[in-house]
Amino acid sequence: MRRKILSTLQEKFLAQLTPHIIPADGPLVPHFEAKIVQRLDRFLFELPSLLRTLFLWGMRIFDLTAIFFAKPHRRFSRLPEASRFLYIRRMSHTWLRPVRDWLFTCRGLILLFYYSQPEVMAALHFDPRNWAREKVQARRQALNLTETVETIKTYSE
Amino acid sequence: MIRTIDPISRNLDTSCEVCVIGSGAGGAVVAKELAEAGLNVLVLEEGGYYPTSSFSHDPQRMLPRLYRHAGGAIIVGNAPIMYAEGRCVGGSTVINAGICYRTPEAILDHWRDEHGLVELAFEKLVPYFEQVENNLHVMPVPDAIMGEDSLKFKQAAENLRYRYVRVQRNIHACQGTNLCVLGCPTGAKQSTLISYLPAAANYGAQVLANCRANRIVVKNGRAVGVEVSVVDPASQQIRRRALIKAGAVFVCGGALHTPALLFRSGLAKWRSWIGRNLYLHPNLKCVGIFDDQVNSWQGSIQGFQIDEFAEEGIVFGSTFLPPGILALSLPYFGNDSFKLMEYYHHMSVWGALVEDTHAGRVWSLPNKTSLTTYWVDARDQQRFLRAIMLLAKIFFAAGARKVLLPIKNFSEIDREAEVAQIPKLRIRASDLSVFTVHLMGTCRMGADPRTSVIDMDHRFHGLENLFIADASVFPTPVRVNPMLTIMALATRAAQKFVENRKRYLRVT
Repeated sequence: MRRKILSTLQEKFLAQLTPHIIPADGPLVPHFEAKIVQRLDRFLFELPSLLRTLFLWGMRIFDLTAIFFAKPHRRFSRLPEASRFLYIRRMSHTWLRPVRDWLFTCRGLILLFYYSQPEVMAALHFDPRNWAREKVQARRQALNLTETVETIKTYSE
Repeated sequence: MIRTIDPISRNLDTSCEVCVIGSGAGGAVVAKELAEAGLNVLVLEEGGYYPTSSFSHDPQRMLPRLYRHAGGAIIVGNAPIMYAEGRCVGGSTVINAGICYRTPEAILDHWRDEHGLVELAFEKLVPYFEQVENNLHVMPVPDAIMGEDSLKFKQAAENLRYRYVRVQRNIHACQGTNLCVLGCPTGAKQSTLISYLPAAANYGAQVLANCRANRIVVKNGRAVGVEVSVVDPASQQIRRRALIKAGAVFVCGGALHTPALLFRSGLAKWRSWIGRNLYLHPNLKCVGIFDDQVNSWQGSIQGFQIDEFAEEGIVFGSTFLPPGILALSLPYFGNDSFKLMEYYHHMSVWGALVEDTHAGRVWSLPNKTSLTTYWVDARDQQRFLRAIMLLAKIFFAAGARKVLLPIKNFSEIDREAEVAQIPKLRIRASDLSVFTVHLMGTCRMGADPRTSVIDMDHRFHGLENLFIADASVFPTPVRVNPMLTIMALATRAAQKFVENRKRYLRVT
């Protein structure tokens, strides 16, 4: 088992941020907030420790700068929904580059996971699963292969 | 055979004649050539072993498995540059587009004149290129798998009267699945995972997956072994450490990890050029939206390249990004993002590959890690803007109704006339979205030991039996996709080693 990176508070924070990043008019993905928290945790786990620490500090700074840039002047995690949305809009153009960069990184990751969901890909007329299956089958037939295999044998005792 | 963590958790301390670090374009070729010559070869690969049957279209699943840092690796500088690098058995050859071009003659002439590499003349490398091309089944992309986006790209080149070439790829019975960047699910792309490594295994080479090289052990002017950590693929925790004794060591970890390993091994004091001279082939991508459906996921990942501007250091080609990765690179979120992404099947992604002139550097940090920095200078930035302007022009020539540019605050244009505004904008390097997949040149080859790291036989200057065979040996960028150059040079390095094996494997 790998260790968890995000604390409960950080998970809650990301779950609060996510609905403002994904399209409200887009296809609904059941339990997406829970899924995204899991995926982000896995992604952060893969990062080198320096980048991971920067990301987690960025999250804290983004949360705290809301005290100065949002109305009412509270942390992001304690803002009303409408104020959260306005704060995110504002921060996407802010001159505070570390905050803007963090927001864009987090936004990119959330959208990466959102648009990789089967429901969303189907709404985009993109069906790679069946497409790939057909093509694997077509190649096997073309080459008279019974299955796609490497000739490398995995080690077993 | 590939060994994974379970069987080796009992006893890994072993010895071999040649230890090859890395199983990508350099390492796999070296392993096959040396094993074929009868040497006892052990390949160490930091990433896991994922066979073709496990490849899926799902980026969430494949990015953490096949890519370093799950695809989120970043180079620090005035324009943070994301880079993609394979970390799995087969290395970056598993996740690249499989584009194979011989090193341009002009580049090799430059290497000869400026770096004294007289042995790397084009005519002398031709037999190695041919050998690799045969092994990889390199062929021009056939018409049958040419996608609509490639045809539009070609049409644009013809409309503008730009010179273009049909792309050569390492494919065998390719069906145009266009999932190359997530691992080819049909096995058509001849990555080293299904070409060189099985051949090496047939000749008796062993591949250890999930095995990270920590340090090369050097004694009395010779590399005597490699200290390794066996990593649990699920938890990434170190399960055990071991020492692999070796008669010779080939380092093929790529342009970022080869210098990092040499730093950790205390070799920086021997050669001051380790880590310097990092080139990236920065990549800028534009997205075109067409009135008709493009369905760019159908067909070969790239069919043609425009090389009209190759002398300026700019080459254009089409590519494909799954929706998640495309959405990530666009500057929108919320409903704005979906309004645009609804046209995904009308979108085509084309990119410019720019030959950079200003080098970055890999630095050694005190805690045995490394940091990579790269500053985009004014000259290269001008080249980036020129590439974006030309790319927008190519899109409009292909009939695009809208083009999305990789420039912050100027990300959409609807008419070709708007392209002329780009030079008037006050654009900083940090306003550009730059990406790279070609990292080169941090342990450059040269005749002069004072200004290079390895000699013309790929041997580390000053050490009898340490060799480097990957993209880090390039003295300059190669202007084309570097895979074939890496493989041809690795073939040559291995064959030179075999010719002199008695000398290199001498036991002191």
